[in-house]
Order: sequence, then structure tokens, then C-alpha cells
Amino acid sequence: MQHLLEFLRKYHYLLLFIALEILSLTLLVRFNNFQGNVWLSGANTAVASVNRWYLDVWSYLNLQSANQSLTSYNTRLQLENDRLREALLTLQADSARKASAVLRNLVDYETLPAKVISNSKGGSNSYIVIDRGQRHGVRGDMGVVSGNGVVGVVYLAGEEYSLVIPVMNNKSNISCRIQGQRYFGYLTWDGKDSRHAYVDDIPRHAHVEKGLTIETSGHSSVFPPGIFVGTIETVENSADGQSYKLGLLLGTDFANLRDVNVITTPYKAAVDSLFKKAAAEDELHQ
Amino acid sequence: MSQSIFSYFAWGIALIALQVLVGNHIHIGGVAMPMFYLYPILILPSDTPRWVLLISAFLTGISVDIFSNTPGLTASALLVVALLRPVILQVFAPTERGDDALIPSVRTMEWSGFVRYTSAVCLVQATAFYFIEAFGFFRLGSILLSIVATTLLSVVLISAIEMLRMRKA
Repeated sequence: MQHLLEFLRKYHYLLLFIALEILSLTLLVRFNNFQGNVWLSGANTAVASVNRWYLDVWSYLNLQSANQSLTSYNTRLQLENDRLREALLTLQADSARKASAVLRNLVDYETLPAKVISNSKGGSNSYIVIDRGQRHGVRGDMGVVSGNGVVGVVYLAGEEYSLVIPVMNNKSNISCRIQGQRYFGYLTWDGKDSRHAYVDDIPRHAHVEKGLTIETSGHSSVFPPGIFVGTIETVENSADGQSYKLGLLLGTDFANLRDVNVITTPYKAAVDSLFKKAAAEDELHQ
Repeated sequence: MSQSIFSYFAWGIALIALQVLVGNHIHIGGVAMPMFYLYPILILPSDTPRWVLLISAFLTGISVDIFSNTPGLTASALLVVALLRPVILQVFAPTERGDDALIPSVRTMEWSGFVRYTSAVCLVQATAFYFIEAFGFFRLGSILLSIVATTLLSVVLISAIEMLRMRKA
């Protein structure tokens, strides 16, 4: 305190000078446009740079919490991504809808579940072997379907196993129609791609467009009507130009076929016996 | 003593009037401006308390500023002069003198000493004035020219006033 008072006594004029100088300069920048503007812009620059420096330091100090929140956000997104990916996987069983639709059409029929044992691919005459045979009630010319649609027709039934002619076989000849329409044609396969087949003999006046559903017609007496076969992918003219040839995307993926159902209802037999009876009566009348 | 205070006061009023009525309207070549108002500060005795120097410098400067419409400009420059005047006077004061307070004038300092003392004070005042006016260090060339020209003109005119006062006394 003593020193301070001494200092003040000795240098009081300096303090007075500073005070008066500050007063003068305040007046100067307050009442003179030019100096005032220079002062303001200079002060603004100084304030802005100090503010920016402060902000830089502040954001640097906040980096850790920003990092934490980013990490937790990232984790949350990762979890959500996993969950959605899983949901997407289950959603791919969109075939479930089709499977239920296929099975709904078979509700009045007896079906026998079977497993595909061998699936000889390649060549235009591939066969499928299933683990059910005559002992289980499988007979020749029974229809075989999977959850995704028509698979084929039983060709030969052994004691324990059966041989199925799939759709993708040149011998296969299943009667099909466009869903909701009466026009029908025959399902054929060109031996190239197991996912794609054709329907021939659709009349030109049929209303055909891409995406329509092709189902069994029921005329072949192997399959009940209304079983899903595939969807129309291309519409072409047939070779003779008299009808349409429809390119199909088959519902059944033969490369990935595990579980099938054999339609064991004596439907075919009943119809066949009716045909035989009719034929016999025709002969009688003649 | 009261006589001399009144005398300084009268000189102050007179020279401020001279400054604002005549000096402020003289701008030789746009660079040289006489600074009559320095004179009362110049001739204050060497034993004048520093705070009196500062206060009188401030009042003089503000008075000139009010009439020149430059509030604070002359005052802030003149405060620098008032702060440095004891040092400057110390440098240019004649070495052979008694313990009596020195009243700066041609009579006490001779022409050479008085002119050098006046030149130094004018230089300080002009430097402070023009740099504070520019409020920065741009247009340095014209500022330096103004400082030199103003210092020369002020020294000449203040010498003339000093001559008048000496003859009158």
C-alpha cells in the first residue's frame, strides 16, 4: 500500500495523462466520422478475430463430446441397419404369400409332403427324384407343387421314390391360363434357363400384358385349376403368327428346390375313369 | 504570481483565438498548418507541476478542437506534448543557470536554444497530431510531408510571436 501510494505520488501525472488521453481519443472517435469509422472497423476486426479464436478453442474442447455423440449415433445406426437387414431377409419370404395362395387352392385336395432328393439339372430332359413312392400313395401322373408354384408331374412311381418330370423338361406339357381369363395355352420350356419358360397358343385377342399371373387351367386333369405358375415377362408372337407366345418367370426356383407337395387326391383318376366310361358308352351307342 | 497566471491565461485566450480565427484557415499547399496554440504551453515555467501542464494542455486542445470541429484531436496530441515537455526542456535548457525555474524565452535561452526547443516541441506536436488524425499508418508520405511543413511553419510563426512579446516587454 505504501509503495502504491508512493508510486501514485510520483507518477500521478502519468495517470492523469492516460485519463485525459483516453478522454480525448474517446471524443475523437465519438465525434469524428473518419476516425470513428477506422476505430469501429478496427475494433470489429479485433472483436471478430477474438471471437473466432474463442470459437475455435471452444469447438476443439467440444470435440470429445461431439465424438462421443457421433459414436453412439453410429452404433445406433449400425443396430438399426442390422435390424433392417434381418427384416429384409425375412421379407424375402414374400413367397410365403404365394405359398399360402398355392396351398389355399389345394385346400380341398390331399397333399403329400415330399423332399427333393436329386435334381438332375442340365440338358433338356432333367428329372427330379422325390422321397415318396407307391408305398406312400404316389402314382404316376400326379401333380407336384412347391410353395412357389407348379413343379411338375410324377412320371414314374417306385416303391420308395418317384421320378418327377419338372416344368423344365421338353416332355412337360401343362395346361395354363391367364389368371381371370379363360384363354389357355401349354407350358413349354426351351431348355435354356431354369427360371424361364413359355406359354404357347394364347389367342391373339386375349388381353395380355406384362406382370399378369399365369396359373394352371385345370384342363390337364393333373393339376387343380388356379395354381400359380409364373408371371408374364415378355409377349411375343408365336412362330406361326396366329397366337401369342408368352415368356414366363416361373414361380418355382428349380435350382433351389427342397420341399414339394404331391397332389394325391384321386382327381386325375376320377376324371380319367369318367372319360373311360364316356368312351365305353360311346362305343356302346355306336 | 497571480499576475503571471493571468498573463498566461491571457496569452492562452489570445492564441487560441488567433488559432481558430486565423491559423485554422491557413493550409499552405494543403500540408502546412500553423500551430499557434503551442505557444502558451511552450512558455510555462519549468517548475510548473506536470498535472497543471497536462490540464492546461487538455483545455487548450479542447478549446481549439471545439472551434475546429475536430473534438479530441488537438487535445490528444497536445497531451503528448505536455507529457514530454519537461524532458524536452531539460535537453535544450542552458547548462549554466541557477536553481531558479527556467521560463522558456529568447531572453533566457538565446535564439538558438529557443528555436531548437520550439522546433522539438512543434515536431512532437505535429507528429502526434497527424498520426492521430490519420488514425493509422497509411499514406505515410503525405503524413511525413505534413509533419515537416507544419513544424517549419509553426516554428517560424511562434518565433515571430516570441519576437513581438520580447519587443513589447
